[in-house]
Amino acid sequence: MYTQLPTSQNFLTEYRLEARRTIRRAMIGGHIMRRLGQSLDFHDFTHYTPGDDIRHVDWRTSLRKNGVQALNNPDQWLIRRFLAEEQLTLFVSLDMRPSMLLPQIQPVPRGEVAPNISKLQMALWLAEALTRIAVPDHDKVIWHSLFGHRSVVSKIDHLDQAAAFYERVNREYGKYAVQPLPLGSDPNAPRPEEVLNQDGFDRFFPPAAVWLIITDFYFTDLAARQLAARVHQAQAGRRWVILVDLDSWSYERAILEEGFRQIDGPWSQTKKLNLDKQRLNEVEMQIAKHKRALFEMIPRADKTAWVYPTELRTSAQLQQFFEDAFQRDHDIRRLFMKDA
Amino acid sequence: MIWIVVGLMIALTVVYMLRPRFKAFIISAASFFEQTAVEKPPRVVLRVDAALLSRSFWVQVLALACLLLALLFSQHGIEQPESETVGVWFVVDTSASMSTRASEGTRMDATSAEINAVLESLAALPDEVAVCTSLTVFDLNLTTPLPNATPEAIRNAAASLTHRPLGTDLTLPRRLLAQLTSRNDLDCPLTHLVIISDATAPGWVTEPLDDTVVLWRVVGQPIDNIGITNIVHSGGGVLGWQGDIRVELAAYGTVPRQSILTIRRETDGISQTKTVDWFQNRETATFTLTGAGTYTIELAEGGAYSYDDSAMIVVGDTEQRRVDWQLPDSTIPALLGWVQDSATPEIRVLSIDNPLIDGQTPTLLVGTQYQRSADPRDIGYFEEGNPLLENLNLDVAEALGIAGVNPFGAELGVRYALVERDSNAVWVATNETPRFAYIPGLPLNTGEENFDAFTQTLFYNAVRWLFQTRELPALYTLTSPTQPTLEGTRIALHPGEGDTYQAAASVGDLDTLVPLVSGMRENPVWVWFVFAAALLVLLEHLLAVFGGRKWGT
Repeated sequence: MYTQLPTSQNFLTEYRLEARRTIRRAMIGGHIMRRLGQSLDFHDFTHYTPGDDIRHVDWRTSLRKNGVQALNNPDQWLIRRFLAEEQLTLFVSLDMRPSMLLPQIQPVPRGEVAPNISKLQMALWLAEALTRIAVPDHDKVIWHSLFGHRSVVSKIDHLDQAAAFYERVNREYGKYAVQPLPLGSDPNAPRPEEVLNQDGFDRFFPPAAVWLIITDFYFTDLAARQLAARVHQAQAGRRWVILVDLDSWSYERAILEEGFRQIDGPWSQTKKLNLDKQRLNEVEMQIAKHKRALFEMIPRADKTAWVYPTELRTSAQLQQFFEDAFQRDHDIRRLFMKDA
Repeated sequence: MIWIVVGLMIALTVVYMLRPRFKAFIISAASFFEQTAVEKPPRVVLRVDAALLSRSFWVQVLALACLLLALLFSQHGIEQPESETVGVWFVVDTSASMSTRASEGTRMDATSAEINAVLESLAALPDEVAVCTSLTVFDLNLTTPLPNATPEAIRNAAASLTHRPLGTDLTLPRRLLAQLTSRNDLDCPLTHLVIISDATAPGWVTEPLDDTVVLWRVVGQPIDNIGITNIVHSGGGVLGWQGDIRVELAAYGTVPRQSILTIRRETDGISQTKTVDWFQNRETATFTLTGAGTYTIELAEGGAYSYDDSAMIVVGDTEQRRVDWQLPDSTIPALLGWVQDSATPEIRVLSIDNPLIDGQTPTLLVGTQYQRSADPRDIGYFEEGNPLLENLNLDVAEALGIAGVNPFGAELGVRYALVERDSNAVWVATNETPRFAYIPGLPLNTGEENFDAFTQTLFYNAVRWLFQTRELPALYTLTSPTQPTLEGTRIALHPGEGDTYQAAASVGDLDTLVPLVSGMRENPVWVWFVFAAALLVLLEHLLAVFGGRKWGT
């Protein structure tokens, strides 16, 4: 069961005030920070990419440069870029694939209700925390499912809308159910749930927006390439892309330990193994190698990792983990710093 | 055996070691295990902690534990009450004595009341006790009209029970008990045998039995009775029958001073009356009848039991002994009233010197009279139990120096009854087939008392033995199970039936019907453990098929 953020509003207010006291000195992304109340200043032209606001297409310039045939070819459209925006647009993409519904508490302490420690829960809390900080400052927040045939996009103007979002997630992603991959299946075959969700980019993804992608990066290379292409487009529109890596391997390795194990999980056949340290190291290397390959496809994005602790069994530990990770994450903190 | 089961449990653990216990995990990084080097886990790991301690394993261990307990407790049992079924089998005496009257009615009426009392005791038992009842009647025969009936049916049957003019065979209830206890297919299993009679209980009734309670319930109080016990020909031995009959009487209880006995010939109504003066409880009265015919004998004031108060008999003609007397001295046949009949004699009397034994007629061989010597002659052999030597004083024979004859008839198998020691001379001999007897001489009347008694006793023993094969026709017949009704000379003078003064006491109390539990039975517990083991094996198999993945290993 996915629950709303357990962290208090005071914690978030203090976090915001503390972040605002810090001067942002160096900008890694190509975005421009907001200045509330100022007018838009033209900067230059750039080619249109899907997701750009069509109102910013400069038709006259496009016709002049590329001729009348440019009207039918979006690749030849030119759009205006501006020096500043009035508001921040925070586009939060949440990965909701089956691997994000894990890990599960193992074992459940006697007499306690097992807290939801899944990566999706963590992603939702992060999205809600950011929303709670951004909305009072009149920023726009978009919640978006990164992948999936059950695509979700919501513009969160008010926190009540977050509650409705939780309800929908609970309904559709309430709990992970083991569905072992049939024997003989290709684990690298295209996966239906890893189709990039294109909804929302055309409506809610203005230039200079911040695109926060929260995922475990356990998707395939095919999905990674789709994402990388979209990130490149976004970056071309001077959008700031932050990749939040929810890494639960340490926790899962700790609970697995060594010995005879039957292992199930998303896109995996049931395996019976005599686990030893060497085998676990091999898996760890495989995960690192996989992520490294993905990150190489998206070289200019900011990357931050939230690593699960090895001991995570109670709701209090879970809340502590979230607050620590949120406090320490410098890339997220930069969202709320003042410009130099 | 116990070690075999323990061995099986160890073997089961080893088998499950061969199937290591894989602890199940669901993790998000599971797909990355696909990409690691494939290496099959070892199939055999002989470590207890590696055993697959699945649910199936524990169920199977439990089944083996049940078998182990079955062995350990093979000698133990749980005591439980025996079956709470009361099967009462009524056995009712319907002999002639049950017609004995008292102020409250006949003994048959008392029987019905006794059965009702037992049925009321049964009706008072708790509802959970199953009651079944059966009814058998006996006199000289045993019949079971109701082998399994409701108490109400038994009550109705008891009310309509009647006696039969027959005697009583007290061995029949014992035989019935033996039959019932040996049968396992009874619709009404026997727990209580209730015998209702007016006779004294035989000894076997008090013998304790494991599974059956025997109650002998005596009905009727002792009551005075006198009656005829038997009617026989009087005479008819050596002298022949001269028309005399002897009526034997018995008095039970108070002995009267006198009784009046009347006999009347049916054809002409001529009757004789005799007054019997009672000096003891058994008396006789002899009548000399006037001729052949049917006679009715009646005893006045016979008492509570009526079947012995009168009798009808049939009498033939008087009979004289027919003898072929071939001795010169015919004093004795004349004295005894024997009729000379050479054609169809009953016995023949010959001299030993002239034996004509035809094999058909019993023959008395008589020696050449008693030869005596001055010196006593010792007896060398005598046949014990020989009828001719009955009441004979053998010392007299020795002292008198009686001479014998040489042994004879060896080819016929003659039994020498009395033989002299020194000379082996034969004094007395008998032979069955052909039937003859040898005596030294005819009876004498010399005035020498011992000698005369010896000769006379020996002669009469001999002729009585020879006449023995002949019997006079019976004066009456007794009723029997095949002909149980009184008719003419078929009467009910069965021995003992008129003895109405028996101080018989009941054996067993009706209270023994109340204790429902006739004993404790020890049920073995090992059966339940084996049953539990079988159930567990069945359960394990069912769950393996239908119980899902967790029961599949």
